[in-house]
Amino acid sequence: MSTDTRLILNLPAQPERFEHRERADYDLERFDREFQARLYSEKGREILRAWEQREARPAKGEDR
Amino acid sequence: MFWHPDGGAGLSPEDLITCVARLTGTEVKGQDGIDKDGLEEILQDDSRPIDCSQFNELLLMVHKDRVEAPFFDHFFGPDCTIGTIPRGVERFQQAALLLYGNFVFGYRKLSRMKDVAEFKREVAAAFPDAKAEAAYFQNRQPKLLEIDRIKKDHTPFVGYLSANEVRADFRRCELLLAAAETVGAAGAWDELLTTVREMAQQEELALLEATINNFRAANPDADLARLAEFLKESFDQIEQLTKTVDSVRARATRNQGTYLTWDHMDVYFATSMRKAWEYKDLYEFIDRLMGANEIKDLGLRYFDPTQAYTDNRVNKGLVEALMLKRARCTVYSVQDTDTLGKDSELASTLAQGKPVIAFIPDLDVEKRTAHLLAEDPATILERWRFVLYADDQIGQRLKGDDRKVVDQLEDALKLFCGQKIWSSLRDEDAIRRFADATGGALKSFCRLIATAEKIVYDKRARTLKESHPLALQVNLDTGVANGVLVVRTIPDCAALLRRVLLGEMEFSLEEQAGMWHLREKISGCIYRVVTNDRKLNNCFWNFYLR
Repeated sequence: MSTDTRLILNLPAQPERFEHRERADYDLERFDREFQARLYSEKGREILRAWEQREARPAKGEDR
Repeated sequence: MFWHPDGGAGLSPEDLITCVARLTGTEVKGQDGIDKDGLEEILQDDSRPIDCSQFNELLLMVHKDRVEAPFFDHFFGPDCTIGTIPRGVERFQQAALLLYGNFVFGYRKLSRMKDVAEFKREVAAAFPDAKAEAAYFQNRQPKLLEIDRIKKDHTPFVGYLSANEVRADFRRCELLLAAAETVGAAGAWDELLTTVREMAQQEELALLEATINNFRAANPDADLARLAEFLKESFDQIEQLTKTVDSVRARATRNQGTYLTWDHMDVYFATSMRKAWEYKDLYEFIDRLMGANEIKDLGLRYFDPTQAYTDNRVNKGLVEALMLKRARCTVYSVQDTDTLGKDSELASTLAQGKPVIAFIPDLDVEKRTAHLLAEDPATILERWRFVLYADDQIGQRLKGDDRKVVDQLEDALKLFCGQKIWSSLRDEDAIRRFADATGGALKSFCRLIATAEKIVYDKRARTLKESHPLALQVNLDTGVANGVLVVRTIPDCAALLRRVLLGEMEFSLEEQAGMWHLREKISGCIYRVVTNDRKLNNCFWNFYLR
């Protein structure tokens, strides 16, 4: 591709990420909830919960 | 010009008529009925003293209303002579421009005031006592609460973009770690991919797969055990970063409360920031400006947007509106693009009749090149995208070798960014390897960006200074036109800020293309105007001064 074409197209290096989108608020916890809802499938949430329980077992009573 | 400051030829009757027209804002009518011979005799000696009563006789000789003593004493003074009348007229014109944006109204109002105290109160805004103003700032009691200063590298976490990047990386890393440990160290890459596809929704799958692929490309011999180890390390690092984000935001929230309670607010910084470098650049600018020798002694209080945070956009808007109302002036940091946010802040300040100082850096290409070279390649690529967008002549300027450099570096930077595993973690080794691999070409590329940035900033400065109609806006209460003051260096910005706050601004008065301009001396910008367009003047002032 010629430089001129590159300059005109100005192709992005990556697709737009969810976290880069303009938002109506700056509430990080709300972003986190929305992002998790977007990230995980139903099955994914089950696997995550199971993993978290396995992770919690050896370190009972202790925060990760 | 007929003004002879060193004495000499005297004024002609025509000179006096011009002076009086300027003083009253209206032409001298009925010139046939003026005793020009009598005037010529009076005006021939420049050094002839003139007092208020004699000045009034001159006014009546040219069919104009007389003035009261406070007016004469203030603008013409006890040492007034024939030769210094034009200087007194100029002093009046400056005051009328500053106070009313209108010579006719200014003359009518000020010339009729008999009470000295009342007159002094009226003109105080145009002639403040700089020493008293300085003493006011210097003698203020210290604030009860100081700002808990957030360090430069952490200021991007006050913004949503960097903070959201950290949180998104954290969640992606968590998912991948859960998947890798669910599959187990002995598992195969295909099993991992299947698990990830089960766990994730379609919208996020491509990025998760890219993360795994990037890890494998950087670690060709790695197995799932090594991946899990890497993800655990990343998880701990990003988790640490999430705690830093939370702590920075908590501190910035407290800072916002502190700003709200300060009983004084002198300067507001208008800006718009999204990207990390925008926070860091503004931090550095404010730090250097407010630490400058020109203003250090004043103990100024200022609202620094890199230090304050609220998660609610409506509250954020209200806080900023209050700061704009309270601050005596706004410093507008002209960055890459005009945005609704900071342009509104500029307009709001001008509409309140307060000064706006616009800072547009005068870039040194070599220094800026060195600065860019120290940046993350992702930032360099973003700067390149900015100049492609903002500098429409860049394609014309690129010659043979430049084009090769652009081709090479664009590919390399895109590859680097595409291969980056976490956007919120800075990989120093990878950055070093990138710099080593691209060497001189990277420097040339950064110089191309720096040159284009300079062209963009110079153009923006010219536009704001010379051609943008909204660089002059109107005080909505008074109708007085208020111009943006553009400066290009931090010492100029600091010196002008001092003059603005102490009422020490210096001006030159000029008549140009049917306009009277009051031009501020440090910035060289038009600060006040009066148009000579009779129809516009009449229509305009019918809505303000009646």
